[in-house]
Amino acid sequence: MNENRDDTFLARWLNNDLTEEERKEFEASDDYRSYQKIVKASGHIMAEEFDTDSILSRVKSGRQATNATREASHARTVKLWGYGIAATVTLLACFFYFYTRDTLVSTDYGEQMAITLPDGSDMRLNARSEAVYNSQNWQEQRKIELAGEAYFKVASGNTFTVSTSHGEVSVLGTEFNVQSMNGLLTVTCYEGKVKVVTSHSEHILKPGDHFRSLDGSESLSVIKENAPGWASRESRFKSMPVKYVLMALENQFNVDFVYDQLPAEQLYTGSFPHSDVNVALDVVMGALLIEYEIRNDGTVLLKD
Amino acid sequence: MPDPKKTLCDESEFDAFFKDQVKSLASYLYYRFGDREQAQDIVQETFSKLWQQCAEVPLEKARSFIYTVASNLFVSVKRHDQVKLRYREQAVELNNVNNESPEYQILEKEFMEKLTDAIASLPEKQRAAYLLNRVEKKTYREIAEIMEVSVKAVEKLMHKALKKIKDRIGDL
Repeated sequence: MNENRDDTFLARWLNNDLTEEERKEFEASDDYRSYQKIVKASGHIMAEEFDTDSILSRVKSGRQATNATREASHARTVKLWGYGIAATVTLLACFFYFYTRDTLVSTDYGEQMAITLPDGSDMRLNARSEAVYNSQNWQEQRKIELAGEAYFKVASGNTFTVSTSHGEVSVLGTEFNVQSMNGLLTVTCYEGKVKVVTSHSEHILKPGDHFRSLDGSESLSVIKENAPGWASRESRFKSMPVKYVLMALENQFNVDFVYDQLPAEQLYTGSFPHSDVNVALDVVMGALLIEYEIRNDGTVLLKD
Repeated sequence: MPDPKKTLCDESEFDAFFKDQVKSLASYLYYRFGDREQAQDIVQETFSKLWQQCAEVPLEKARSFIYTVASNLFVSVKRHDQVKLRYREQAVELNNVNNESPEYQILEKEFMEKLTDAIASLPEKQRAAYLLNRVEKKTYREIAEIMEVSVKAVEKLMHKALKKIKDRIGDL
């Protein structure tokens, strides 16, 4: 080693901070080529990739679980119903620690979660959904802020309100489903009576009534099912614009669609299973007569 | 909801901070301590603590908070796996595709193996500084902030790291 070199010499060389004189002398030295080769080869080392999305969703799902263990917070977002119920028990335990704060529950792609609310009402969250409520004053005000989709079985009591960016749904005690995303609000009543208030109108739904508001245009129809399809791992649609069907596929399977133009006026009536992304794509695209291709990067290309 | 001020309890603030910092933190922990899985778990635990204590940690202290918490968590974990670095084999070969014999290409691969071994066996701070600079393209100043040391100290770590790598690989 050349004695002219101090203990930051190589660092300064890497940073192009050597003086002209130092640099010339170094380039003429015996070990210059070795260093050059090491630095060049180091450039071929690949940066490590981390799954930051799933880290973030686990961080969020752990918000109400300070006193639970890390293992328990892993269990919070669960893929299976059975685990969802187990997680509910942990959640209930945490209410005692966090009764002063709003409780936030959320699900990631393809996940569902079962929550028991403080009065025993059930809430099931579908994939990529988020609900916020305050369990401290729950008995005085049963109110949930929802983004996404959830199915409720409400214990009887005072008014139970689901607030979304597209309108409010309030009931006394009943079973109903609320879906709120990007310009779409649907409410289905399975039992009891449900009141829907949007900026345009007010409706009272009876069992079997299905309300839909799509970009401000509202309609009422009748359904035969006694629970939403997604609760039994199937998404069902009736005369639904294609873009919302694609959104539902994205929420379940974490896929991205790539396309030039969607058949805007085409509507989809049918379902897809949550068990297999290939089957789901086959079923939906087959019915819509859209050819598609799953590309190497995981995106799905829709052809004209 | 409460909190009229901008704080990390505001979800969009928290998400932005997370996106801004998560990759640096995860890479740093992995390069310094090894063990990818542990690094991811500790990143998650660290941000969970921040999320839970969002009201007590002001935005300007948050960066130093996560590095301190994560480093403490890592030091308290006993066993770490060695850093396993991957490299672009194609790139290595492409450089020599025209006039080099297959034997030479194998030598190149051997060299990459030696290099990654040498880096893996560096002392942890030297390894973290070297990889953050060479792989993650962080400046010395950025590394100094991450490791909470002076820029001069980073330069010393870089110098020592490069010299050790060369000594370990031996004759090229």
